[in-house]
Amino acid sequence: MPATRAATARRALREHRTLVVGCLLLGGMVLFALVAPLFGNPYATPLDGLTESGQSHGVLSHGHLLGTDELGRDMLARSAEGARTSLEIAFLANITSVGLGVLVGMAAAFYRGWIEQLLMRITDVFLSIPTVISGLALAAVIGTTVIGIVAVVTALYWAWAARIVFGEALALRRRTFVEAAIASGVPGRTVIRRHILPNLSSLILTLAALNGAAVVSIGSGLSYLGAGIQPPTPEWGNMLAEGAGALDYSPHLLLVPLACVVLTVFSFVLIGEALARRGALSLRRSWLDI
Amino acid sequence: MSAHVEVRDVNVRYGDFQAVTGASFAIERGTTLALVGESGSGKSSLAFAIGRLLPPGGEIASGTVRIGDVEVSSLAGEELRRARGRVVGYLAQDSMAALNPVLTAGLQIAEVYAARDGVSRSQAKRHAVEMLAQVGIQRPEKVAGMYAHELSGGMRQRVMIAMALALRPQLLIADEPTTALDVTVQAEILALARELQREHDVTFLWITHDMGVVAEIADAVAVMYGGRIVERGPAGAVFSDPVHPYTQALLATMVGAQEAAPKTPFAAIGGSPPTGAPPPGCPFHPRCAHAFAPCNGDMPATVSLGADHTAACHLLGVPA
Amino acid sequence: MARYLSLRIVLGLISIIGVVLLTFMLQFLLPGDPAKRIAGPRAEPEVLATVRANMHLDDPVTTQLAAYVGSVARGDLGISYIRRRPVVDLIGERLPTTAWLAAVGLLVELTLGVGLGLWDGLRRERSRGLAAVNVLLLSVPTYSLGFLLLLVFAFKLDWLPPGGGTGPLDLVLPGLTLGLFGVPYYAAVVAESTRAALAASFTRTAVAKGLPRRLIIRRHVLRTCISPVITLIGLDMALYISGVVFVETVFAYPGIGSLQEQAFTEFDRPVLMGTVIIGAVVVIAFNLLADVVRALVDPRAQVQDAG
Repeated sequence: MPATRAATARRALREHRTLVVGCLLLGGMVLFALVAPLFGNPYATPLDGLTESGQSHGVLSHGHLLGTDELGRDMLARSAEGARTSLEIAFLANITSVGLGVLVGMAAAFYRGWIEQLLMRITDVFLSIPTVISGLALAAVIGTTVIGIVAVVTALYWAWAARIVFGEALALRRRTFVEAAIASGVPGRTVIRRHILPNLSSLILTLAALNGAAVVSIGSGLSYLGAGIQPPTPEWGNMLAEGAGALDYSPHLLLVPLACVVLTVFSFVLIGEALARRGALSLRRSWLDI
Repeated sequence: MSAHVEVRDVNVRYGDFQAVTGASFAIERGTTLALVGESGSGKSSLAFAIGRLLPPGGEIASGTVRIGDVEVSSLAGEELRRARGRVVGYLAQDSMAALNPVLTAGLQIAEVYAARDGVSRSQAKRHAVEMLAQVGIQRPEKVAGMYAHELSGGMRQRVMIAMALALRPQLLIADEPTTALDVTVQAEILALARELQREHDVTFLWITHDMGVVAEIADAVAVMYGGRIVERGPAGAVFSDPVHPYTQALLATMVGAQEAAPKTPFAAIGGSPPTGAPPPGCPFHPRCAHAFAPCNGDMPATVSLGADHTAACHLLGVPA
Repeated sequence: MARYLSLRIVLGLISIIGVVLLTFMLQFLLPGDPAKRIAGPRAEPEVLATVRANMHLDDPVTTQLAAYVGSVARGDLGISYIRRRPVVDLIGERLPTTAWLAAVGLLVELTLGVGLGLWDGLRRERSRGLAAVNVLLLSVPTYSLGFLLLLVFAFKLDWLPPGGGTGPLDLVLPGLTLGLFGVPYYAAVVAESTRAALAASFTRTAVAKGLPRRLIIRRHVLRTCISPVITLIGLDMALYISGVVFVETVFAYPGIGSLQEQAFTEFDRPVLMGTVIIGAVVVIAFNLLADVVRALVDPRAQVQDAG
């Protein structure tokens, strides 16, 4: 009996390999952020932080696994501390943007009429705003704190979620069981809670994973452009900006935070792909094969 | 002299699922055989097998199909492609879906010619317009430049007929081409089909579940149930003297047929046709009002009732 | 067609008005006194008051809004605080530079995306290799991809210039970066529509007519992919322009994107807002253009959308 259970587990693991790898990777990044204090002070500029000629240490140098930056600060400690900020922004912004998108999309799909028109026109306006350009403008207004960046990223990304949720919720609303519930006088809120939300849950999860990938890249991207968390507070985006200038002689200054961003985005993409594939149709036939 | 189309002992399978079992019939040149049954009866599978248009995964597991002097069941590759449209033509059910939405009607007819025999583009175009005129379309030049969504259902079906008959096929397989049309347009299309059949001497295999259409167009009828042909014969004989309880039930569903058909104990057929594997014995017995002891045991043998009329039912008794 | 077009144009105009309103609100919320930026931090109070009056900063909000909307409608986006020149001119000068980059990126995106999508869509089973490439490309943000290409091709291999110029060679890496990022989206859309067309009833008709396989693919399958690709170009424009900003910054490419990035660091409010409005107009214009082109190549579109 335990043998079969182990076999089932192995099969499940194989079937969901993408999902498992994605979750492990994301978990790893979160763990990296959580244990940041173990890697020492990210602001310290110890005497051995630079070489005798005043250069930064490369990766795998003595005492500095990921090397040091141009001030002699430990890159491992800074990346881990940066993970705290970057991931905090990513998770908060993901929750708020998907949450707002779900609310607006469902309200528009459910109430129809002028509410739908108003909400969807607003969504269209936000969709036609080029993300980064307005991100810079917004950051200039809201400021460059964690909450500020979360607000900027939310403003930029909720409309996508709203569009997608609106489409799906509208399709659901036209299904017989929902129309029947509405016709029999079930209050709107109950219909949304009982019929629409549960049927959208898998879509919302997929959306959150893919949106997570976008939010991580845009969050760090804005910081890279200078519209995010400001140095000396370490954050992957501003570490990228610091490293960009040293690309030709100390590439590790850029490659270390870059790897952090890419690995995190990668984990979200893997999870999103796995979830999206689960909902996708199986292969269709091709009439060219007959 | 042998028949123009001969289907012998055809079995059609989709993986483990047997869709058609032991189907045999013949059609004389220039006549129409109506293949009748509910959805799931195997009539479409059989017709597509004859036309070599089974969806991927479906195959003729055994049996032969001969059209004229071509054994289509053994064709493959380039030979099969060359036979399509020329030996056997196909008229689809949903003309809206069956026409490419982004290509004009004229191009879709012309390409049939252009892909063959080194016909030039302008020649092909001319042929296409001629063909449109032949299927009774007014101002064929204008219609040739139109897209599927710009045409009425009747017009689309005329375009489909022009496409299917462009290469003068020996056999035309029509998959309920008139179901989506309203009654007057349906009558027009059926009349056109008969007219073109006489003109081109083409043989029809007409799939339908509508006994009204059968009465209109068929010379012979084959009734299918659960993947088997349960009764077949000349249209007149099957209509005036249906033997199988299922045929009787089908005729009873025909509007205005209540007086013509012999009084049957059930006006409509209760239940629904089998979906998965058919039940043991006669596939119809769970829904049959006349079912008795042997029906759930053995498949009844096919009994000849004379003059090409056969049926497979235990009520006919053990064949001599 | 006329009805369809006018509906699209009206919707586009509503969006542009919305964006202009948003930028106006943003300017109001921006920290710092614009008059001080013009007059300088050590200006006398009287001078400051004159500047404020000249800029209509003391007028009621509604009057200011009307004036703002009016000037934007006339094509006046204000004057740069730093460069002391009209924003429209600054953007206009850099427009061709950015347009070249955008065109090269789009070319890369379309060639690779459509090619890979077709290749995958025509296969009996989805290609695992392509799926992996897709996941990888999706996982590397535009700027990261730019850095990696820069590191390898400019610094390590020294094959291509590290940026800063506007010559044809300077376009290779930025164009590639910009294009590669969009490839997975195009590949997915093309593969999906190819599969849908292969399974469609009209392909069965084409097979039943005895057409050669190559002709069916070229004429019946490929044509139906054009419309979704055009739609995607329109939809993707907002994201694409973001890519332009990142790429221009990474490669120090002197286009509108880097102008905007500078405007942000210099707190040059008129330039910043001007680029937002221009960016939005470009996105909306491309969506409109995509709709029109789609209506021209796909006879169904007009009926579906306007009907």
